[in-house]
Amino acid sequence: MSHSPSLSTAALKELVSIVGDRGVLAESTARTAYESDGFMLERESPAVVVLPRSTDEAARAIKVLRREGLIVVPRGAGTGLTGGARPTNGCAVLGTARMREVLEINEVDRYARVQAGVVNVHLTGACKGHGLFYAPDPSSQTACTIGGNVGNNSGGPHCFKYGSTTRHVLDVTIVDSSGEVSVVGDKNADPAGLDWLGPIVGSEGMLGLITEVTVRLVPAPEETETILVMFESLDACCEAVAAMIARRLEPSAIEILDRLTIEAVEASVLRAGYPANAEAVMLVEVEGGAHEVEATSADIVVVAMEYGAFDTRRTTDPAERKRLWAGRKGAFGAMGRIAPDLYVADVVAPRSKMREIIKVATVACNERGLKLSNVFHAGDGNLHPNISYDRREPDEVRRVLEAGRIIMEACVAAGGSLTGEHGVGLEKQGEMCLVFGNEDLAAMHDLRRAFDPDAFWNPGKMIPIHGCPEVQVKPLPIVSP
Amino acid sequence: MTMDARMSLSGAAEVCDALSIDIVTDGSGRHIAVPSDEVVAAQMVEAIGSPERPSGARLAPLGTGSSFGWCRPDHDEETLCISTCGMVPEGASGIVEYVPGDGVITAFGGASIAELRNAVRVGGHRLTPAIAGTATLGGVLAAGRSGIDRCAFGPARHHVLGMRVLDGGGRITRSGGRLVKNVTGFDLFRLHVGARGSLGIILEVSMRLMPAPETELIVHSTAFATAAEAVATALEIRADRSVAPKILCVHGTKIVAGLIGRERQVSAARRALEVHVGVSFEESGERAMDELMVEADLGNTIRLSTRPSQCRELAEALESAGIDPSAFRVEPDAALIDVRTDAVREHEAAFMDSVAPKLVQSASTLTLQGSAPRSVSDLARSLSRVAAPQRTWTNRIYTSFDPHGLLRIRGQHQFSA
Repeated sequence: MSHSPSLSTAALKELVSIVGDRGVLAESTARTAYESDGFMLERESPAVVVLPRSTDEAARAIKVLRREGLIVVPRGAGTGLTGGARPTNGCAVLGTARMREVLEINEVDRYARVQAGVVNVHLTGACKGHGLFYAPDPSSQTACTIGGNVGNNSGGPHCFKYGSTTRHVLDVTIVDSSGEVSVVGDKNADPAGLDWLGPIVGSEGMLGLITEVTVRLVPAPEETETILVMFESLDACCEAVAAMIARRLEPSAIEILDRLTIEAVEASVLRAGYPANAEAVMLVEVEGGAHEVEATSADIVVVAMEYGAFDTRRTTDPAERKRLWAGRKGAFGAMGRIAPDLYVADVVAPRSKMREIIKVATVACNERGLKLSNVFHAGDGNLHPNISYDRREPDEVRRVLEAGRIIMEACVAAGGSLTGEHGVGLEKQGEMCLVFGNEDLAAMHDLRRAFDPDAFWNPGKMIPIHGCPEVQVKPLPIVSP
Repeated sequence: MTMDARMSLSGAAEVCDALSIDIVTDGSGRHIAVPSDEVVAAQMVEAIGSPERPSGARLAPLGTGSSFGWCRPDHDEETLCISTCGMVPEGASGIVEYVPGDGVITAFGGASIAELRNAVRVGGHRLTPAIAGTATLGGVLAAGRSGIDRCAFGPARHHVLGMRVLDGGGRITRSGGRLVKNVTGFDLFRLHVGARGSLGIILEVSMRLMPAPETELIVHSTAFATAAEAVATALEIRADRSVAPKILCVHGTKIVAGLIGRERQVSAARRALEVHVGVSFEESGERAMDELMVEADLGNTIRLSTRPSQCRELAEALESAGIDPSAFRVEPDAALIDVRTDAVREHEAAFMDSVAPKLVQSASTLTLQGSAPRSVSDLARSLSRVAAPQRTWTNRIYTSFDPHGLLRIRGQHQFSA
C-alpha cells in the first residue's frame, strides 16, 4: 500500500493531529473513491483526502496544506455531475462529509444554521416539527449536502416556485486560502457592503471552502396536491405546460418524463405507478391554502385535457405523493437498466423553445445510434436529455460527447445557456465561449483573483484559461419595443 | 466651482466634446454627460480614465436621480454624472426583449421602472420591486431598493437574471443570461445590485417576472394603541398559515395586509385575518397596490435591518424615543424598519439612548438612505460587519473593475485597506 507521494510524513501527522485518524485518507485504496464525482469520464488521484469536523479544523488543515504547497478541491457528497469536485493530480481533497450537524433552527426568524456536510433531505426532516421546510430539492437530495448545493446553486423540481439555492442562503462561513474564516451575508435582510454572497453561491468551490450555511426556511404549505397527467405525445405535453404558464397558473413544480424514462422507472424497484401506455407524463405539484390548491389543480386538469391528456390522477395522500415523486427523483438511477452509464445533459432554454431543443436532441442521438430519454423541469425550461451509453466503449463516448455539444449549441443559439443546475465544472468549460466573450470571462477571472490570487481553490475549472477564438459569441437579440 | 474642479471637469468635457457627447447641468447643479449609446459611453469612460489624459474627474451613473443622494453622498463639483436615460432610444419604452411566455423581461438600465411595470401588466405579469416614483431600473437595483412586494417575492436581487455593465475601465461585460434558471459562470451581476454604481454602470438587465394574480386585496386594520402592539399582532398574522399575507406592514399604528391569489383563497384568508384585527377599510385591484406603493415612500429615511423577532422591541424603542409612529414603517416579515430622517434628527439624543443599544444587542444593521446626523452615521458604521477578508476582496475587485478610481464612492469605510 502506498501513501501520498506529495505530502511529507510530518505534514500527514500534523493533519491527523488536527482532524483525527479517521479524517485523513492517505492510503491509495482509500483515495480511490474520491477520484471523481458523478461525472465519471474524468478521474484523477488526489494526494490526500482531509475530512475535518468543524470550521476550526478545516481552517487549521488548510494552513498546513497551503504551507505544503498543495492546491485544494472542496467536496461535499461528490454527487456533482460535471467534474467540479474531480481532483487535480496531486491535490488535496477537502471534504465536508464529517460536518453533519444542524446547529440551530429558529422558528420565528425562519432560518436554520447548518454545517456544510448536512444532507439536504435531513435538513427538511429536522425542520418538520417547526412547520417549516428547506425548499431547494435536487433529485440527489437524499445524498447531496447543503454546502455542495451552495457551491452549485442547486435547483430541483420545486425551484419553479421557490427559486434555486441562491434565494435561500442568508449567510455562509467561508475559509479562504490563508485559513482565515469569515461570515459572508447576514441573517438580517439587507447586509452592508457589496453582495459577496451572490457570486459565492454557484462558485463551484473556486472561491473558498464553505463550512457553515445559514439558510432561509419556508412555512410548510397548508395543503399539497400532486397531479399525474398522461399524454400520448411529448409535444402535446410541452404545449400544455406553455398553456398553463400563459394562463398564470402557479404550481410549485412541473416535471415531464418521456416514454423511455417511464419504462425504466416502472421496471425498477421504484414502480411509481406511471402508465405504460403514455408517451409522456407530467408530474405537477400544487401547494398553498386549501382553496388555492383546489382551484389551481382543477384548472390544471382542464388545461391538460384541452391539450390532449388522456387521463389525470390527483392525490393529496402523502404516501401516494411520495411514490409518484420517488419515480421522478430516482429516474436517472433507473436508467441503469438500459446501459451501465448515463450522460445526464443539463441545459436550459427559454420555455418557448423547449420543443425545438428536444427535436434537436432526438435527431442528434438518432444520427449517432444513441438511446435518448428525456426528463425535465418543464416550468423552468431546464432540460435533461439523458443518453445511455457504456463508457468502456471509446467510440460511444465520442458520439455521446458530440451529441451533448450539439444540444448545448442548439440551446445557446435559441437564447438558452449551458447549464440550469449542474454547473459548468470540467464538462462544459470548453463551451463557455459559446455564451461569453473574452471580456466577460476576463471579468470572471478578476472575481476569482479577488478571492484567490494564487489559484489555490479548485483551479482549472469553469472558466477557460485560454481566450475564446474570434466570432464565437452570438449577440443577444434586441427586439424593437 | 474651485479651480481644481474646473480643470478636472474641463478635461472630462474635452473628452466628451471629442466624442460629440452633450454635457448639461440640471436644476440640482449636477453636470451630466449624455452619451447616445453604450459604445460612446465606453469610449468616454476609457478616455477619461486614460493615464495619458488624466482629467481628475470622477464619474457617477445617473438615472432620474431618485436615489442619487443615497448612492452618491460624495457628489461634488468634480463629479461628472453619466446619464443612463440618454442611452434609451428616444420615444422607446426601454424594453430590449419581453416574451410573456418566458416570464422574463430585458430592459435598458435607464428605462423607467414604472413604464416597465405597466408594459408587463398587459402581458399578465408583475415586475419587482414595486416602488412608486420616477426611478430607473438600473438606479433601483444599484441602490438596492426594495418595495412593498418584498414580503411576497423577497429582495429584488433574487430576481435579477443577468446584466450588462460598463465598468470603470471602459469594459462592457455580461454575466448571467435571460433565463429563469441558469448557473453558467459566476453570478457577477449580484455584485452590482446595491453597489450604488461604484463598480460599473448598469446598461441592461434581465429580470424574472411574476404572474399577475387573480385577486389582490389590500386590507387596512383599525388602529392599535401603539405601533409596537400593531407589530406584535402583525407577527401573529405572519405565523398564521390560513392568512399567509403577501404584503404585511405596520405604518403608524395600523396594519396593512395584502392578500393575493385565487379569489376563494383570498376570501378565506380575509376571514382568517379578521380573527386578528378589526378592518378599517379595504381596496382591491392594481390601483390599491399603486396607492400603497405611494404611501410606502417615506422620503429620506434611515433603514434598520433586523430579524422578525426583534421588530416589536425596536418599534417600542422608537416610540419611547419620542418618534411618532407615523414617521416609521415596519415590515415584520422582511424585518425592515424605515424611519424618516427628520424624525430621527429631531429626537437624536433619545434615539441614541433608546434605539442604538437595542440595535447593538440584536446585531441589527442600519443603512442611511440620505444624509443623517453624525451620531447616526457613526452608529451605522459601527454596526456594519464587513470582515477583513471582505475588505481585501473589495479592494481587489475595485482594482479590476475601476482601475482609475473613477466610480468609487469617497468615504466608504469598506473601500479602505
